[in-house]
Parts: sequence; structure tokens; C-alpha cells
Amino acid sequence: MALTLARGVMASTFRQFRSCGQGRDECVVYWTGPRESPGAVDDAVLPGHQAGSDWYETDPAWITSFFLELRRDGRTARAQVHTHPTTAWHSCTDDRYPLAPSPGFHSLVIPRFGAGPVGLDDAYLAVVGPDGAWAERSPGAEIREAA
Amino acid sequence: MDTAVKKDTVTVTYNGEDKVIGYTPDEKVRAVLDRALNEFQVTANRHLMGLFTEGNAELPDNSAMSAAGVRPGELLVLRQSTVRGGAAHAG
Repeated sequence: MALTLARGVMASTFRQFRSCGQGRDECVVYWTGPRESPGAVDDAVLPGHQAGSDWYETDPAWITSFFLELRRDGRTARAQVHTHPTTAWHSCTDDRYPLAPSPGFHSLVIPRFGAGPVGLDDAYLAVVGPDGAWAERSPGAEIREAA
Repeated sequence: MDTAVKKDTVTVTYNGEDKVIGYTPDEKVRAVLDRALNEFQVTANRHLMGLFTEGNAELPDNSAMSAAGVRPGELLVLRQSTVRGGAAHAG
């Protein structure tokens, strides 16, 4: 299922990466949308987290609260989006510890702490398949921004 | 004679979605967790997942549901115990 981003979500994502990561730390946001609109993404949520130059960890208590909030609001997280310091790829840590390791969940990695052009240039995308394994996908084919 | 084991239920929520899971009070949390993982089609790294109360207390896998303090109708949260990532290789 391809993702369709509401206007402003990509720009908001990069703003948060630059503001939070300050060009020296990784950062993560979760793309969310209404459960009843498959593939729709209309918000980028910055979690409580800690991070360094080559890692991040989301606050466990925040995840519990987040899942309860999504339930209450009829929403779901469709992707995790995080930065790497240099090139974008999916590390072993990215593989093992995602927010939602179930089929269809997307993981987008943005290079250079998000300091480059706003968009999918040089980004890496993986999606959880039916067998639970990550499969690389083309970011440009899988993620569309609403006009 | 009715020999059916009476089952209670809990609601397990995961990433915004709910599933109602049946259990017996003396059943291990791990068994209920496994059923929840099946319902949500989580197949990879299942040992990294846990059931949590709304107050964020993790249910011990090896406890019976009743011993873990779970009550019929309770809402539980299914999530990864740890969520992390990054370019560092340590997994």
C-alpha cells in the first residue's frame, strides 16, 4: 500500500529533524493517518526520544501513550521516518526495533540528518512484508505527496 | 454436561487497532501474547514484544494472567519493549 502525504507533512518532517537533531543527532518522527483511509498520512509526530550521532531510542512510556492516543482518535502510524548521519540505509537496529513490525509498516531513512533538500532524494525505504521481513522499495514509487 | 472452559476476554490495542482476545485466568501471559501477535500478524522478532497495562507496566511473560493482575475486560497495549534505530551497527 503506497502512502499519500497530505500537503506539508514532508516539510514538517524535515523541520523537526533540523530543529531537534541540529545537524549532529539522529531524529525520528512517526507518520500517522486515519485508520479508515488506507495509505493516508496527514501528520508527522515527534516522539519523546533520546538520540546521538548514530542512534535514537524512543521513550517506552511514550509509545504506550501514543498507541492509546491512536486508538482513541481512530488513527494509526503508517511509517517511521528517521535520519542517518551520512547515507541512508536500513541498519540491523532499524530492522529489529521498529515501532510496528507488522505487514505494511514503512520505514523511511533520510540521509545527512535531514539537512539536504526536502524530499526523498537519496532516501532509503523498507516495508514489512507478509513474512515479517523487510523489503526494500523505491521511495519515489511508494510515497506520493498530495498536490 | 457442559465441559467447556469459561473464557474471559481482554482488549489488546496495537498501533491504533483493537483485537478482543480470550483467555483463562490460569493461562500464562506468554500464551495470550502469542495469540495477540498472531491476530496482528507480527511474525518477526516476537520475543521483543510485550503486553503492557494502560499505566505502562509490562505483564511478566511467565505469570498467569490472574497472577499478573489482569481483569476481564481490561485494555492492554501490545508493543515492542524497545523501539530504537540508527546507523550504529549494534543490534
